[in-house]
Amino acid sequence: MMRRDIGAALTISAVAALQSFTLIYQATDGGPGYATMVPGLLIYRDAFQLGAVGSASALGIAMTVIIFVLTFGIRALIERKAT
Amino acid sequence: MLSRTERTVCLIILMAAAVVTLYPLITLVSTALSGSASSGGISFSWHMSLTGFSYAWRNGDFSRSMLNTAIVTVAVVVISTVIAVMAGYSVALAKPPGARWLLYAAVFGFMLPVEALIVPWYYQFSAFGIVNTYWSMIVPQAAQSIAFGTFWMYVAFRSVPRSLSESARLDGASSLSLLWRILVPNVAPAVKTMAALVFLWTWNAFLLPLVMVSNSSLYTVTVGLSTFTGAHFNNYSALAAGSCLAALPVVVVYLFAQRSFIAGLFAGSLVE
Repeated sequence: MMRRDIGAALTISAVAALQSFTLIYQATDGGPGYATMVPGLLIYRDAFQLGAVGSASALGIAMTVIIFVLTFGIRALIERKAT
Repeated sequence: MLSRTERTVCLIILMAAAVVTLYPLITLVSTALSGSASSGGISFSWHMSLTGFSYAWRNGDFSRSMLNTAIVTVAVVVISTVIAVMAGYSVALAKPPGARWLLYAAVFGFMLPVEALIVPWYYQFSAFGIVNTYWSMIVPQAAQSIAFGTFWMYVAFRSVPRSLSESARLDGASSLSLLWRILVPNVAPAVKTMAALVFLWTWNAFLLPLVMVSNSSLYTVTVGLSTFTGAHFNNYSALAAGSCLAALPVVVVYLFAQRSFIAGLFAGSLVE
């Protein structure tokens, strides 16, 4: 009965974790090295600090694809077992 | 029915979660009120002072950045609420040809991460010459809020019994008066919750204003706080006070909206 709610919570937290930017930007800026790097920060750095707009766009598309796969993957998992 | 042990375990988990959430908040407020500029750590003391707040207010240009954020947030909330209510009505009840695709577009629109959109937004807006204006922050934020709000209102409007809009139709109500006089009051908790969520997201938006605005007189409070943090990193009391100032409006809105917030969240999840 709670399967769908758990699925929704799982999807939201997974996507939110993937999109964390503010905290990392403020606290570590991806460092030391690349130890705490997240996709959002990498895109920001590539596009607006290094001028590598092409690789930033590619990263953006990759990130979008990952989010869609995650969302629909979790959904498929939940729906299949629910019936 | 939960057994005694289950209930105890539940309570312990919830209390642990509450401690984890509240402890940083309490240290934040106590540091802000401690007023000791030189403190290199977090300490509790009964001595309260507002020097941290006044220092942050004077040196962080918070009056300016709060005003900027308020302008952007109010614009986004008003624009996206009006459009999302109408779009939600359209896809849920009026159903013009292609309404289905509008709904898919809305779902797609709010699933796209800001990080992926920020690059095209920035370069397109540079071409339009609207970077470093309020519009460069309002338009993208409103667009994503409309996408989310359309889906949100679609779910809300579908829960309204069909007979209600049919009888209003028989009484001769036009589409517009049916929507604003009959349907919207019926889904008021959902509308309020949506507005509160959009307020929260817009107020807390960081990446978008960070990229779009380089003119410090247009900084929103999140970006202003970030530069303030960089410049005054050893004045813990002022930093904590600045964070409190930035967070305060969200807390106030949340407190006011809380009741319909919770009602709206449940209304959203129970609809089939």
